[in-house]
Amino acid sequence: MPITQISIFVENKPGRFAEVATRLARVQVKILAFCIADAGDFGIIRLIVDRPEQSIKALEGFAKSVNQVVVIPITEQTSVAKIANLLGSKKINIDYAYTSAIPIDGNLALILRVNDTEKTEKILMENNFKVLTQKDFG
Amino acid sequence: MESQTSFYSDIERINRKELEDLQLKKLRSTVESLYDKNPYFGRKLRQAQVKPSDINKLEDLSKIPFTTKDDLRINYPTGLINVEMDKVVRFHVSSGTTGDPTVVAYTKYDIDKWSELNARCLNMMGVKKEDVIQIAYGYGLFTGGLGIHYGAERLGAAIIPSSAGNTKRQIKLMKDMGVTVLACTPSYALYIAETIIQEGLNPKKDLKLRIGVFGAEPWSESVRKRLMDNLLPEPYDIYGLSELCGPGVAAECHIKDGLHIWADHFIAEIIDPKTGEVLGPDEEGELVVTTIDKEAMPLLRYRTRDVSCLNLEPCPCGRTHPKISRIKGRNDDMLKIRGVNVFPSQIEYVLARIEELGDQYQIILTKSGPLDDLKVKVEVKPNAVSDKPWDIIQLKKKVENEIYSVLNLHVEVDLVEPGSLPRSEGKAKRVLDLRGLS
Repeated sequence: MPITQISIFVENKPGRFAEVATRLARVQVKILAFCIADAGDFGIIRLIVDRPEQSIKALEGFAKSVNQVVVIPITEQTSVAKIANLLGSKKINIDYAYTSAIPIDGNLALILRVNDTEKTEKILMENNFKVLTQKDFG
Repeated sequence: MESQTSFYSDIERINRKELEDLQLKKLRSTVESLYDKNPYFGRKLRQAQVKPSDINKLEDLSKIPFTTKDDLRINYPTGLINVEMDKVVRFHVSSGTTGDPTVVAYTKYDIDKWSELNARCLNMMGVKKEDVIQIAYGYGLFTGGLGIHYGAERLGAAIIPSSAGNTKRQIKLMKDMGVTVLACTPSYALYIAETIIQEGLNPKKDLKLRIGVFGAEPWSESVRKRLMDNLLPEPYDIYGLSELCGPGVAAECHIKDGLHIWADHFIAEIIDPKTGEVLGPDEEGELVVTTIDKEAMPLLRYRTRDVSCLNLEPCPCGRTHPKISRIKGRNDDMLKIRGVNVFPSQIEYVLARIEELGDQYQIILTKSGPLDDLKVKVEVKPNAVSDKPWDIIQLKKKVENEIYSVLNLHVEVDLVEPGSLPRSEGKAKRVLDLRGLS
C-alpha cells in the first residue's frame, strides 16, 4: 500500500516553511519526513505525515498536490544501495528520493517517487524488502 | 431575434434617420445653451470660432473643441455647472483613478434620465421586476452603486443595496435572499466567486445567481468565461463614466458583441488620440462622448481616454443605437515596453485563458537602465501544482510563451501562492509601478 505524500507550492521567501509546519503542529500532525526542492523563485515542500487527511485540511489555501510514494525501512540488510540496484535492474526510474526525519517503525526510511509505484512495491516485496503502509505510522 | 427582445423604451428601436435628426436637434440646443450661459465653454467655443448656428449636421460636431479632464480640474469644483445652483440636487465626486477627483452635478431631470438609462441597460440584460439584485458597487461619492440602484428601482426589481466589502456577508445575503442578479466590478465578482468556493458553497447549486452587471473597469472575454464557469451564466458588461453621468452610458445586449451607447443622450466618436482626427467605424481609437440631454453639466466632445471602436452595423437584437466595442483600457493605462504598446487587459486576457492559473495577477513595472520593463505575478490555482518543480517551470514557460504570442514581448512571469496578491472590492489595482524607485 503506497504512502500519501503532500507537496506544497511555496514562494521562496522567509517564513513559508514555518507557516506549513505551524499549521500542522496546530492540529497535532506529526511530520515523519520532508524535503524541500527549490527552483529559483519558488520551491516545493514534500511531506510524509502520520495523518494525511487532517493535514490536507489544515493546509487549506495552499497550492498543493497529493501523490503516492514508496517507503522502505533502511536496515543493514536493506541498504539504500541494495534498493537502488534492485530497482535499476528492473528498469524502475527513481524521480527523486529522500529519507525520513525520524525513525518510522524503528528505522529511518527511504522515500521514493518512482514512475510506477505499484510495480515497484511488488518488486520490493518479491525480493523480501519491507514496504511500509500508512498503518505503520500510527 | 428581434421578436424575443424586450424593449424598455420604444426609443431603443427608433429608426436611424430619426435618431440622427434627434441627435442633431439636441446637440444644437446643448451648444446654444453652453454658448450663452457657460463662461468657460462660451469662451472656448468663441475661440474656436464656432457659433451654435454653425451646427447644421452631425459632422459639424468635429468643429467643436474637445473637453478633457483638465477642463474639469481647472473649473473645480463647480465652474462647469450650467444651471442655477438651486436646481442642482446632487453632486458625485469621481474616484480619482487618475489624478485629482472631479465633481459632477445633477438636476432632478438628470437623475431621472440617468435612472431611465440604467433601467434600459438592466432590461437589455434580461433583468425583470421579479429579480432580486444585489448591488455591490460602492454607494456614496462613487456613481456605481446609486446609478444601478435607480435603474433597478425603475424596473421594479428588489434591491439589496449591500455596497462593496464584507464579502462573507455578501455571500450569506445572496444565499439567504435568493439573489438572482449581482452588480459589481468584475474583479470583485472574481473575488466573490473565490470566496464562495472557500466557504464550501457551490455557486451553481447553492445560489440562484443568473445575471451579472459588471463594469467600472475593463475586463476581457476570458474573464467572462471564468465568471460563467465559477459564478453565474450571464455576465454582462456595462459602461459609464462619472463625468457623463456614471454607469448606464452603454451596455451589452444578449448578443454580447459590443455595448449599445444610448444615442438619444450621447454622441460617440472615435478619434486618433494623437492628432484628434475623427476615425471611421471599426477603427480603434479614443472614445469621445458629447452629452446631448443633460442640464447640470453638459460636456462637449469629452475625451474619455478609453480605447474602443464604433460599430454602426444593425444589431440582431433590434436596437438601432450604435455599439462601442468592449473597452480595451485607458489611454493612460497603456504601457510602452521596449517599443511595444501593452494594455493590462491584454495580459489579463492571456492569463485568464490558462486553466492552471488563479484569477489574481499583478503587473509590475520596473526600470532596467533607460528602458521600462515589466514582470507579471500571477497566482496558481490551489489544485493545479505538481510535486515536481520541473512541471511548474514548464507552466511558467507556457504562460510566458502565451504572452509572447499575443504581445510579441518577452515578459518574465512569477508564479505565486494562492491568496498572496491583494484582492479588490472595487476597481482592481493591477499595475504596480516601481519605476520611480529604481
